[in-house]
Amino acid sequence: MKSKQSISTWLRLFIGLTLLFLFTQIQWGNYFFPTKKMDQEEVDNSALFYTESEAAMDAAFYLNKNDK
Amino acid sequence: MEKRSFLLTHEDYWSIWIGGFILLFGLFLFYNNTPEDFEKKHEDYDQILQTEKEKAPFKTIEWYRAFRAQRSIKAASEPVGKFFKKLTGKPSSWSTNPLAGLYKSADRDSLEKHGYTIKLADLVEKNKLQLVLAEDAQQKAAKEDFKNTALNLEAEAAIETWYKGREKSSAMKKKTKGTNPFKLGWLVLWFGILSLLFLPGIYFLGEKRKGFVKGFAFVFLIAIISYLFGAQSNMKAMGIGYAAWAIVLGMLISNTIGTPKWVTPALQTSWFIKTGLVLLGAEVLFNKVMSIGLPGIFVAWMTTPIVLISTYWFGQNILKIKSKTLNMVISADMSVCGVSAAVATAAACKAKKEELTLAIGMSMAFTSVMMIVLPIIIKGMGLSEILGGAWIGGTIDATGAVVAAGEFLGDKALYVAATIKMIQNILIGIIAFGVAIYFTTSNENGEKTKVGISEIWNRFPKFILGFIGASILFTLIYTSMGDNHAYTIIDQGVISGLSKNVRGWLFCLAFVSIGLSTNFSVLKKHFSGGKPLVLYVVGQTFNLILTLVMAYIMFYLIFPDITKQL
Repeated sequence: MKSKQSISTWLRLFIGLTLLFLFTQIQWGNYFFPTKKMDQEEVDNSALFYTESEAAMDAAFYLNKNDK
Repeated sequence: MEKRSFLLTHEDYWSIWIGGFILLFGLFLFYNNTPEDFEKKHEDYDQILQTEKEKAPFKTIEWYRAFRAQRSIKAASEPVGKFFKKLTGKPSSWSTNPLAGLYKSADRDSLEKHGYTIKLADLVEKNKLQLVLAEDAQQKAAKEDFKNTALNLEAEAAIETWYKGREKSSAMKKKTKGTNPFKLGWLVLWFGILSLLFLPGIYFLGEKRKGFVKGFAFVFLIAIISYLFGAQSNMKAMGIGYAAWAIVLGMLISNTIGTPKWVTPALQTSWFIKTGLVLLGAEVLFNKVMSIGLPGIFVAWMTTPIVLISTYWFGQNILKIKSKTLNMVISADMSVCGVSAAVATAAACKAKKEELTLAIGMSMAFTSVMMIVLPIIIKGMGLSEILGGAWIGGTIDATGAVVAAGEFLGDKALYVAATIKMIQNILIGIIAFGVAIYFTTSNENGEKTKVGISEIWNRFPKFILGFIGASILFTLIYTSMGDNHAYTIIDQGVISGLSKNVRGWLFCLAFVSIGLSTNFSVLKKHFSGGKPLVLYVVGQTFNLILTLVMAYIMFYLIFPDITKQL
């Protein structure tokens, strides 16, 4: 009984991981993203804080120099 | 038994010791390993920028060349910096095979690089032509002494096209130079170092040391997998990074096979978060508030507290959300900057982990949608790039999404959006401090109570002092060094080369711990009647309206001269 339950929980974990992997494989960009860069090159929009984004750091540096 | 000092037996103080040690180590390291002649190089480039600015009413080719060269003076690019970047690095990008994020065979690596080299050659060819056109246009404008407006505009447009092409080919060049990323060895070394950092604290806090390392290995492994999922190309583009994956994977394990008991000693959620927040303090640099001038400060620093307080009030008095801490975490998460603000306020008001999970989940879902929808609305409404950028920066939660949405509108929008978000990010310290004070001086019902100073001190989350202390210390160091030197040593040294990555790992470990100790049914209970969702939507709607109005007033009615210069 206990081993059956154990198999079922492992199976659920395996199905969960497979579904999550499949979720990553959907080309969401083709359906939802009209962004210009998506088709041509890789982009990273996952920065949480400004220091994690090179583009944000560059923007601050640009405005700093632009101001002088 | 010998009585130990409270400075050694409290988790908050250990967060300060570990965070402080990493920051001071980083400062020592990068201060003593700067690029050769970097001071002189900065001076020379500043001189060129100044001369070129006085020469023409637009940014010349020489201006952009000096700007790019100056931007690349980074302490993190020196050998020591590269070592620590590798040590604290994360899995690489992949699209269909997750293992490619950890390991690439030499054949596959050279095949990929070959593909990049072909693309690079194409980009370089195009860029050469763009340069010829830009030089020609600049020369024509120069012949007229830069007094012919039509020729100036023509030159400006041609130079911008060349510059964008240059940036593209330079990004591609980086890809062709990357080394074969065999990450596993670095990850094992990093696991060992992180364990060592926490072991003394574990000893003094009375936890089982052996149990910690074994459990920590499991948590670390899930953190690696979370980073792997977050590094998948579609997920990176969607802005679904490690934070969401860490919680989802942790919850998947805890709600299927269950979290193994031997992992429990390593589920140090609050300790990881607090240590990460002390490191985050060094990234919160107050001197950066002036980056975009007064209109930016008004948009970011006036709207945010108004939205935060109004949303919290709405949650308490209209929606009557039972948990004050849940209400506060969602309000801060939505009004300030998403995940990092949620983490900071949750730690400051001692919110439950399920409450933080809920706030982060909603923030990430809405951010992914707003990142796409908001720029489309802005284009539809015909708003200017600056107004649109300010609106995006003030309302979308995560920086990555802000940059993506801003970029969709154009370069000016990107600059404004990213900078407004940066100024808003700086508010985190002040808000976390204010929230900690509010929650230590009020009772369960949110009413002010008379509490003695010593009681306030007892209740006050001490790690906030480390957070604020790091922020003040690094702001002072930054200011005393001057913008150029600080850019090389702090921005592109201590932060970019060390603390940012370590902080990311600590947050990832914390989110994994949250997931591993979260039960779906408990989480569902906190979502009672969908009130948190209503709170988020109502708060965000108010935020959208107020930010747009404030941005219009500030950038177009009160400070139009500053707007013209952008």
